[in-house]
Amino acid sequence: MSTVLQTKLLTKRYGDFVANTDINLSVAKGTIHGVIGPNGAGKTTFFNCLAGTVPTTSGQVLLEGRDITTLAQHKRPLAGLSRSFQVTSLFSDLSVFENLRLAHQALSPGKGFVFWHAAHETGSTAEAVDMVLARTSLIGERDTLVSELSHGQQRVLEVGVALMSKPRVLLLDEPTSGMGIDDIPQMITLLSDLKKECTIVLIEHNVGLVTEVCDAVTVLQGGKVISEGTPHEVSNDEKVKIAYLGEDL
Amino acid sequence: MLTKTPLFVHFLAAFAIAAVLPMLLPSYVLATEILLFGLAVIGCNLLLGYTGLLSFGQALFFGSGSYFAGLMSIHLNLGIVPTLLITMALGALIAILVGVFAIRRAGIYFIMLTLAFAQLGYYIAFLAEPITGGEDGLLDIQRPALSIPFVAKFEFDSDFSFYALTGAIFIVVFVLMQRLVKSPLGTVLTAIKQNEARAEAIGYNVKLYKIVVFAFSGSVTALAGALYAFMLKFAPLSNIDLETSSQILFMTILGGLGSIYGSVLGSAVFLVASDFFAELWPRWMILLGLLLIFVMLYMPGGVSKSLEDLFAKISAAKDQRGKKP
Amino acid sequence: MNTLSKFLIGCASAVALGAPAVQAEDKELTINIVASMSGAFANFGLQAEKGARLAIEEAGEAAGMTLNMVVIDTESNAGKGARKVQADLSEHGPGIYVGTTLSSTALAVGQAVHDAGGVYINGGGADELTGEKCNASMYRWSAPTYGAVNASLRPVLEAHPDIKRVYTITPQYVFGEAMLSNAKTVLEEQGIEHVGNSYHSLKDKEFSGFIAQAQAANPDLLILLNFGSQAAASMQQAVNFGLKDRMKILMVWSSGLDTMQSLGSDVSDGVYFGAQYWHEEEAAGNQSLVALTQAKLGEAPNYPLASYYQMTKIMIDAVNATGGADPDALKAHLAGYSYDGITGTETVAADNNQVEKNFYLLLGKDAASKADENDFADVVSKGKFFLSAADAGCVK
Repeated sequence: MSTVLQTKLLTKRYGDFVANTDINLSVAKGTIHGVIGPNGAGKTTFFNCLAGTVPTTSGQVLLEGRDITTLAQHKRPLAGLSRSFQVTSLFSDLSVFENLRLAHQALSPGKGFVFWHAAHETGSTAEAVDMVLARTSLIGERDTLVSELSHGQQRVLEVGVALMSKPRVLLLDEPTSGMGIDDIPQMITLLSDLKKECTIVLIEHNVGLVTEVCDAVTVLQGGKVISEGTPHEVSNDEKVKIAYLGEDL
Repeated sequence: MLTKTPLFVHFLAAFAIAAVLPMLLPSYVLATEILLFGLAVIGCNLLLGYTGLLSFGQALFFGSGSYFAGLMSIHLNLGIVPTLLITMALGALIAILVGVFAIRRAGIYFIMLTLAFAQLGYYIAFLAEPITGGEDGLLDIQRPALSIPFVAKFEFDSDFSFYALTGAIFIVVFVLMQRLVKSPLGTVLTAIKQNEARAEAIGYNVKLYKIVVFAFSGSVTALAGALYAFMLKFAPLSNIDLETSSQILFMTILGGLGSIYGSVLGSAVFLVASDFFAELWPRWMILLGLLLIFVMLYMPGGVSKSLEDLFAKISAAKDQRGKKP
Repeated sequence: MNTLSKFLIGCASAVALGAPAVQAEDKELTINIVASMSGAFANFGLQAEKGARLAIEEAGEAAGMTLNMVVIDTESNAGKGARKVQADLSEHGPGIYVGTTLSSTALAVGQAVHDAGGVYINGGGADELTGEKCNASMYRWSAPTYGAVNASLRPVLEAHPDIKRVYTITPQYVFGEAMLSNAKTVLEEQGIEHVGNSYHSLKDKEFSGFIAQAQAANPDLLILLNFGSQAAASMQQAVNFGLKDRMKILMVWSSGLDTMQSLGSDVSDGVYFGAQYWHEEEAAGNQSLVALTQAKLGEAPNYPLASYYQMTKIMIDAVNATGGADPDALKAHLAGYSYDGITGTETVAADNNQVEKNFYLLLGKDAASKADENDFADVVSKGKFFLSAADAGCVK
């Protein structure tokens, strides 16, 4: 299986505080790869480095063999790497349709600078948006404002927006965060469905979901990788148990 | 959701505004001032209402526009169209310069940077007295003519003819701006205003878009400044000072952020209210201050939003009455 | 209701607020008083308006027309003032305009009035108003920097032959530069050493640094070439530093009574002040004003009040003399017009429309010597120093 996303000795320092130390990650194509760890382990910082939201201090990020370490954040979706956010980050006063359309529009470089004709809402744009609406079961909410959606629907839309760029690698930061028990199965189905066309790296706290969905798991603690393997292997690793439950147990 | 008002309707509306305005006012001069400040407010609205960027430096573009246009008229004697187009280009350049530096910082630091640039502009204008007239301002500005080769030459000496020119320019810019805010660029600016982080993450070079909107804002604001200088035949130093920046912001908020119609409303209400209050009481600035406080507290969407709400209520009430069995 | 109608009705209602009532104008003559009623110089406008009103009420009518006073508030802003005068000219046609002391406003208003064919008199201080930027429709009542400096500095030097070294404090802009260059000319001519100058900006409020520089230069005379609140502040700080004991101090461009009232006798005592007007002037033209102001307002006239009174009166008298308000007739009458004014005999120079009038040098006195609460100073000398149109660079 080929490696679609890789990091080599990725380190991120904020002044004296080291958030990520020498992280080596290898994500195989067509898999769902979980990144887990106790709070403060540096998972979101790691994601921010992968997505280009923050610059790395040292180390490399390779996408399909290409070094994208210094590639600007806004160029990564076009390169095939998209992310979603742990705290819902959408355009809340705009409709679901518009949120998705904006993501689609960004894919044609320079299209966003056109000021002499109205934005396209029909044709190929509408098709692309409707496809994602179908996958995320939000067709009925096409014209609803994001602020009026339920939390669960917003989390699903979070993923949907990232999907618009037809990514080859999808970075999902706690996609089920704050979701109710009843909404989670929908997310699991969506993730399994997406696996067919892209590789997914996800940060998650929900142990059940990780076990059910992930093919491989990397465990971070204190900014370092402490364990790696299948969900089963990792859950039986002593180091991981201590990391989550503490030394005394 | 993007509304579907055809551009032609906006054109008719702008035309109607320009046609009706002087009928409601005692002179063409005040009507001209309302329209040209309306343009300045549109420039400010692009930054603040549509992109969420609060700039205290609009007077820098306004005043620069006055000076460039005035100097061109005195020394070069080009026609009105080249003069205004060049002024707009220069306004865009200055705005890009400011934008490139100011957008490196966010929030309060951004605002302070725009303010700093505005102050810089003021002192340059003040000290460059041989060019700008310094404290005295630039005097004896003539209004350039409109020459259509081999056809005709129009001078703009009368108040009416200058108003007609301003009205025509206003209509064109108004329609272009309505087109802009619904264009892909407009949708990106709206996205940036709502959630800059997400806009960047989905693939928009936010810094570059901010510079672009600065260019548009600077160019339209400089155009307004040029028209003001031609109207007065004089470019006062005050065009580039902080008070002018504040007044433009005030008009923008008063009219309603994110509304091109609101821009004209804001300029009209502010200028008419100032004149009206000034006739009543020399301490009228207190009344203006109270008006601003009132608007900020009770009409946060500006006058345009409040009028829209009012009409919505009236229509709803009419519907209710109609429904009685 | 669509956006269009909504907007129109909204706009109409907002604007209907401001449409002023139509004024009937039969047998009525409007005198437009241009003053800074609000903004940074509002306190000046307040007094100015009173002076104009006194003149208009005193006359009541001119050439058979009832006098009507309209106040145009410049808001202490040249652009606003110019726009309002332009709007007024376009609404009412060429008219008579009186006032403003801000030179930038005066220049702009003068240009607008000249273009429309009216008549305008102002109290601005910049030399170019009757110099390089003069025009045939604009008159200026006050003495510009040339006259102010000559009429105040020369008598001080005469009274104190021991003055050999002079230090100046100057605001760094056109007006200040003009004051300084005029002062330097006088000093050079008299063979007096100009030992140094401190420039300051129009925003400065703290002058101790400049005063320390002045002190270090050890002059016999310190000349303050700034004006308004900055002049008062630098004077106050100079006195606090004890400079009065070491040298003479001259404030060239004071507002006369206003300045001394705000400084108080302790500070004003022994200090030389240049002033455009002094209420204790004995000339008949002033005594009548003093009596009028005392009777109607219970106060002594200060510079803003007096200057606006005089400027308005000049226009009213011109209307009476020509039997109407025709601008060309008024201008013809004003050329070389001489009258008993508030500073003695005043003459309107035909070549550059400058009113040639006395400028005063006053010497402040201590509280015990005051004859009444407003007797802050004695007149040391008064004089008329004016450049001809050719020397001033005026081509009408």
